[in-house]
Amino acid sequence: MTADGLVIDGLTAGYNRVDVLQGCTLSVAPGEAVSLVGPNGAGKSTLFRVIGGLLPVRSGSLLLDGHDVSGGGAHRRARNGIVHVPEGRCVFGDLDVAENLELGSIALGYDLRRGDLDRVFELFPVLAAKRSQAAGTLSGGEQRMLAIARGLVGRPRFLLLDEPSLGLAPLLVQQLGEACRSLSADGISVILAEQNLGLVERLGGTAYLMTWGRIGRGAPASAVRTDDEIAEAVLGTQLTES
Amino acid sequence: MGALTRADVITILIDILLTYSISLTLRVGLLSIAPVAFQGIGAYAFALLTVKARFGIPLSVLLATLVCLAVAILLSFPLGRVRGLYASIATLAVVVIATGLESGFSFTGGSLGIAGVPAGDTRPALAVVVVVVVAGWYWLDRSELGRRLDAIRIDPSLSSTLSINVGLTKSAVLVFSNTLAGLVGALYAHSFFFVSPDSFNFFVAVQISAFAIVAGATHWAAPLIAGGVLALLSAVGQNYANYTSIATGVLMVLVLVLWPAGLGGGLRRLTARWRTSARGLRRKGEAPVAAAVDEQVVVTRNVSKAFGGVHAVVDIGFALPARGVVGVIGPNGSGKSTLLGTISGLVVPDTGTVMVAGRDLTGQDARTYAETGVARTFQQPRLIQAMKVWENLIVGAGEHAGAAAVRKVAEEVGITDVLDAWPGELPASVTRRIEVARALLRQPKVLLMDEPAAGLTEAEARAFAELVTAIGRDRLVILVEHNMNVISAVATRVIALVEGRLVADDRPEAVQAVPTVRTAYLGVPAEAAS
Amino acid sequence: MGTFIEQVVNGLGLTGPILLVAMSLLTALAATRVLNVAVGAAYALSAILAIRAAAAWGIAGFLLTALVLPIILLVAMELVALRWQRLRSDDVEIGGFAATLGVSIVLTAVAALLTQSQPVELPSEFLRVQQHVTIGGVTIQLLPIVVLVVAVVITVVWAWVLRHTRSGKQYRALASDHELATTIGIRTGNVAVTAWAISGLFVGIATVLLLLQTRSSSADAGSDVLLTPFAAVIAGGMGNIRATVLVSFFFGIAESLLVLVTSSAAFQQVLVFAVLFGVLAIRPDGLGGRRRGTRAY
Repeated sequence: MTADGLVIDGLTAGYNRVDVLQGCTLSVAPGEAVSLVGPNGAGKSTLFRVIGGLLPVRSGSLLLDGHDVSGGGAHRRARNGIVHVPEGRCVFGDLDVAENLELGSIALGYDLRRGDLDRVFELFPVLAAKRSQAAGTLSGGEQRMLAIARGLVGRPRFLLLDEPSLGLAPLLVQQLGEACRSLSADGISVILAEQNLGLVERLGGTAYLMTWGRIGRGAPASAVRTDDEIAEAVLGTQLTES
Repeated sequence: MGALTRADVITILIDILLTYSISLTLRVGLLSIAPVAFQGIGAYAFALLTVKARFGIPLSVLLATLVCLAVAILLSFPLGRVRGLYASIATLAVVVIATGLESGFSFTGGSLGIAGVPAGDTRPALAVVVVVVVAGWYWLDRSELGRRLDAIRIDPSLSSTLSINVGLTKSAVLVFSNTLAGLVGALYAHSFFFVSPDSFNFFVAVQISAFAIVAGATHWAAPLIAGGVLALLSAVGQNYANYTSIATGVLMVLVLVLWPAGLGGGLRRLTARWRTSARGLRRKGEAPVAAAVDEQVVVTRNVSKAFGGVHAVVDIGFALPARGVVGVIGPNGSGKSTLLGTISGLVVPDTGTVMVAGRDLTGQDARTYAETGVARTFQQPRLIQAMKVWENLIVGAGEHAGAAAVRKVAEEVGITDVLDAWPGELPASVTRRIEVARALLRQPKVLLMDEPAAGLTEAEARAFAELVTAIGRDRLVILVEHNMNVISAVATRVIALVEGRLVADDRPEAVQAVPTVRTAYLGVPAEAAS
Repeated sequence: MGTFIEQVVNGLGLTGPILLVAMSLLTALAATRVLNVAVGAAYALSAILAIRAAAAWGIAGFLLTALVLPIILLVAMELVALRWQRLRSDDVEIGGFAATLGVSIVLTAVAALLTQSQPVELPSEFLRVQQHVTIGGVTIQLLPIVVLVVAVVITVVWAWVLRHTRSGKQYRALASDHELATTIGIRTGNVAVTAWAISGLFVGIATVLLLLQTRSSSADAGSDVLLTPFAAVIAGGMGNIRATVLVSFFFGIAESLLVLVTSSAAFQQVLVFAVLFGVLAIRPDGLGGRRRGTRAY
């Protein structure tokens, strides 16, 4: 039985003696959009680190197109098309914007193509304007954009975005949502860990509730605010609308 | 193996003291190998004073130490400016220059050095110094001062926003460390008949810094044990000096690889259980009631700042009241963080003035802003992982941090249960509250918050908003935030920046209706605004 | 005036080895942010064994030992000590620097054991080259000028590689943020080892060229070879190649001119390090340095 896409079954992993992930099960078909929502500390970032190859699998399986890919480090995952954009401002501060982007493809062993850059500059015009500026001098939100853009030029099959909306202005969150959606339409599987439900809704696909190191039931992304279980875990009671 | 000779004992005591000198600099995040140079300066001063000037021995020890103090103070100005690895290199330069001068000049006897120094048994004197230094360090580990030194090592720029004077403290540590080494040097010269430049050269400095690195900087006994054992090893193994060197070097690398905090880190972890507990908070008087505040607590005029030719903020001016919550919104890169930086002193504006509580603070450092009453939280919470939550709260807080004050603030912010926890174990929603508590403990007139709701679930964000509203009743809160739900819920006034310029300054609803804000920030078409 | 010009030319000769060792330091620095103090000790040990090899196996043995041994030593250092240090400590710069101090102690002691702390010399007839020419009354040593040309060519090529090639960008990415480089799929282990191997190769070239001039070495020869290039790299801003080259020339010529003023060799290092100290006091990040990237607020 070989399924295409990314299949995780009974995955455990963690730091020191603590298992943060206590048996995660998830499958993502090519081109499928998936969001993980849930409280802080549920293990979303840890799961991404495991899938991205930064943290070893302790037990359970991690299959890509039916092949076990749980061995090998981050560079092997990246070459298999799994690109992980960690949370926080993850850019090379000493290098300029263009070099940061180039590294997204250099890491995979090929040089950047013209079209790749054009596409991300279209998405984030501010990066085009600052392409020869040192990445460390960008503002917090611009550094987030650069990190996401660098993930995109790596031409991922599976793009893991860890809280991409963090520090982005509402307008940019909307644009990011559109961008993720069009990536998904192009056949790239976008896997999102997010607190911003607006972005989850915009991406579409399936949203899963993650709590205490386990992935729970999935629901259509459009229903994250109405699904009883998810809404209770993520929203508490509704904020007064502005 | 014969018993240790007098010379062996003296060498071991001296090595222990030099290890303490260097470990002390490690404690504030430096690695200064200058103590070996100062040992040389003290030794040469003593030799010249006794041999050439024929001064008495106690007087010469005193004078030699004072000479070292003077040189150390002089050097602390340039050394205090240099950071990190550059500072280590600058101290290495001191070693090379000192050895070069000692072997270059004829009055210091060139490479042969000075012979005929009056010698005596310095074991008692050295033992007394060792006891004093060990006792002093034992006290340091338990004191507020020690905690400040730790904070400087772990996060210097955070420390300066907590009103710790980083530069002065580092300079003071260097002066103390070097003067101690100078005293040791004078006693060294008195122990043996001659001094020569080879005893204080690059190789010796490297050897002693190996002792200090093995010891680490975080436990009072570590330099005593590591320095003592390693010096004993090389005294016993004199005839196999190369082998003991190899052992020392291998040990040094092993410690760096396996136990980066050195022996001290391990000892500290072992004793941490009973040493650090919130019960250890000393009783102190109630914190003073906040003084009456001015009508306009933060006033900026024509503030501009460019980074490498790119304008981050342009010509910003506003006056903010002493109470309430003011929101700052704007697209990414519009200069919000830079603006916050200018109000907390982390960014010095190119033009314009910043006044806080009636004082013009333009051009002052972050510490002065902190002392005037500005506190802040960071986009990514900056807590010191190696300290428990309650230690994080009181570090640098000085007289405000009585036990009662800590408990009161912890209750206000809702973190009473986690005071004894390590920050690394806690989720983002709690670490943000800890940062707020740390800021409040300083009785700030102004509290700056940089995207405190980022990464919080909506339920957590709502609870946080309530906290912010409560805090704003007694002081000014300036809140940079993208979550418009939070802004609408807490802010009574909103400042909007676009491309570094102030485009709106009004009530939240009014600002959200401004066309530029709608198109550039909220992503709502302008025509919908009218 | 004749002696002045002669000393300037001599100074240019001194600059060659300074530049080569500085490039070796810069290469390790560019990829791993480690300032490798053990370069001096690695030189001393390699030079001693190369001299032994010259006596035993002639030119082939000499060249092979002098060129390959430093590569082995530096790669071993990276694999055994620095890689793990980097993974476990958050203070890469001071921690790495300290680790190389430790390695330096070990290598110096091994060299002392091998030689019983006595200097060793190349066999007297081994590879004697035509030494000097006289132009207009000024005697010019040929070999040092050859060394300088080799050093300058290597520097120019290497500066271009770092700036414009795929490998160069990976080196700089690694130095900028090691964990992030791993995350985005750079094979950080391989990149670091390659950089240290190249750093070792530069030491090897310096060993061959220096031994042809000095013809002898000893266990503590390392500090003389290390200290001036070390000061040049720091004063140049730890990573700025152009500034490092300028400072190297300045130091080479200044050390040479100092002979006109004083006969004591001890003052050469005083001069170099006093300049370094002065530079750091005025510009705490070196001449060509800029504050590390990220905004802290």
